[in-house]
Amino acid sequence: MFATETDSEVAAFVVEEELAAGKTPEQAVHAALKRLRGAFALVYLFEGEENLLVGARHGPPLAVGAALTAKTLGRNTVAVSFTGDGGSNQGTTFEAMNMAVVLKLPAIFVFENNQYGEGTAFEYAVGSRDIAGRAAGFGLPAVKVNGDDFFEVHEAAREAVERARTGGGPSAIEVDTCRFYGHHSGDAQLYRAKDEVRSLREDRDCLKHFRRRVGEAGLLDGAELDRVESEVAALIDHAVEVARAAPPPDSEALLRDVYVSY
Amino acid sequence: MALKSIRQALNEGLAQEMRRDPRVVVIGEDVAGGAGSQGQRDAYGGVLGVTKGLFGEFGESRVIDTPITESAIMGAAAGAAVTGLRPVAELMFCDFLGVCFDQILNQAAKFRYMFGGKAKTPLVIRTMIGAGRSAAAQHSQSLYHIFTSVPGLKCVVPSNAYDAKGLLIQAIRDDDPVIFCEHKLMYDLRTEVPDEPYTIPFGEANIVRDGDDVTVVALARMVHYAGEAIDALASEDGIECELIDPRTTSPLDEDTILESVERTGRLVVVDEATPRCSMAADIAALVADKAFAFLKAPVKRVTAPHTPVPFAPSLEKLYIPSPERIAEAVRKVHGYAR
Repeated sequence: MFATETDSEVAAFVVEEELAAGKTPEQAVHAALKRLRGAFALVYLFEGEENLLVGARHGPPLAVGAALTAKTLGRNTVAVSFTGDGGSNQGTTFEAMNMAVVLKLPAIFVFENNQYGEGTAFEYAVGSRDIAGRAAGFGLPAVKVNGDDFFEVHEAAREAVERARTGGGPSAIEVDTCRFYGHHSGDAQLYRAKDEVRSLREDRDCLKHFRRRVGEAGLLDGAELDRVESEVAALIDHAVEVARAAPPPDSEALLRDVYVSY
Repeated sequence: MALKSIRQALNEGLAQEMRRDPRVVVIGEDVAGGAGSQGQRDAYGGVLGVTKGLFGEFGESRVIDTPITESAIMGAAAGAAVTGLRPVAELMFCDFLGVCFDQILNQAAKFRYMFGGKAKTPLVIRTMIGAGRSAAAQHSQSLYHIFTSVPGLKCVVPSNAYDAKGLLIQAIRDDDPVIFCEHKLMYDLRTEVPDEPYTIPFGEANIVRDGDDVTVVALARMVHYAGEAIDALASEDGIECELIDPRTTSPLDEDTILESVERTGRLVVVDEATPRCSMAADIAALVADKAFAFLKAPVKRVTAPHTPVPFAPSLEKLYIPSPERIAEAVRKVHGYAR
């Protein structure tokens, strides 16, 4: 038996049970998730497996609601929503920012401005061409950062998280970035200039910038970065392999998780 | 007559109406595509290419790319319609109805009634319905029954290119708000389509096939699945079905359905939507109410289950009513004895 007052502890406990039964960390999480019901967002870290992080989510935790939960229950959690330049124009986004200010919620609105909403340019679709400025109009601290610069993004996020955790209410961060791919996998991207993607890959790859910065500062050398990159690539390959090898859902899954059946 | 796809038929109908009437404008997300970018200015022509080429002919004042803001698109289109334009607004996926329903439900649908018949709202909302592309629960629904339930809205659900063009032109010329539902898996489906403009009146069902044993009513893609089932039933079981495609769910051609059931005494309704408060339920209720004395068997509804549309291809296949399930329902109804 296991007694706890917080549901999130159960999520860790069931994984421990599966580990004790001799499963690998990934197998344990996989098995544990089958036993969980309801909405959750979980990240598992394992002692002795410093390079492994298993994330799972069920049900969309909408930022304002999640922040309200955190505030009401006195949790240290901060709600972070990620929206594009396209989504920044939605009325719902405006309402959410306003409510977060009114209720002084620990919420962070991150706007990844990658210059396109589907095939329409930010330049055209965002009237003020200033997402952070518009967010500021709702009364929340808002900054615009260079998305190519890991350290600038990290610093802005740190400040916003700290503000949220110390009762300072919501923040907005507009991340000026770009995209190397289309809106969806079949997007021919005819709306882009001919060499646009090539020059972006050349000049605006945040990983390239990161490599240069940490190299110049003497924090990590090229060999170390190469090792991390190949480790990450292997992790991704492994995850894809595991997912591909997993069986398709059984037919009963069609009717599962619906409150009423007819 | 030339064979044309539903995509071509709709494109042709739009272009012809825009040429005929300068008040017709197209407005929506990426209806041209590429606004403000450095590449092609009409890169998309609608997410599945239905409005491709209109930008080149009619320009940005009549083929209007908008931000991704469904409430503003529907509100602007309703406001423009009531003040003199004839907008064809695009709600890319009918699922996005959730974002903008107030503008449709409480504004566009209500103007004529609340202003004592003095206001006209000649608005067409083109929208995509349907499962089958693993587009998951938020991009795969068939929500025509929701539009159908709202007084003040008309709702069109075509199943072939000929009907699509005639009904779209009819919708553009209609003085009331019309929701025009296009099944996303049917755009490449070809039928013979006249080059010249023509209209098909609302509220007139198409009898796709004659038969005296069982009446089958089906909408959109289900017309074709029902057709497959009916072919198999005719050759394997000797059961002759009458297949009715209502084409518009509001107004609904009740007479054609009732007359058929009076003759066959048996009814199967096929609907890709979920079962509760659906077109299947609506048509079953109609027949129970107005043709009860003629029924020789209980009415059968073949629908999706009461679940969101699943993403996994294997589950999505189970979700969508199949020709096999339709045939099974027809056999049950045909073999029923009191």
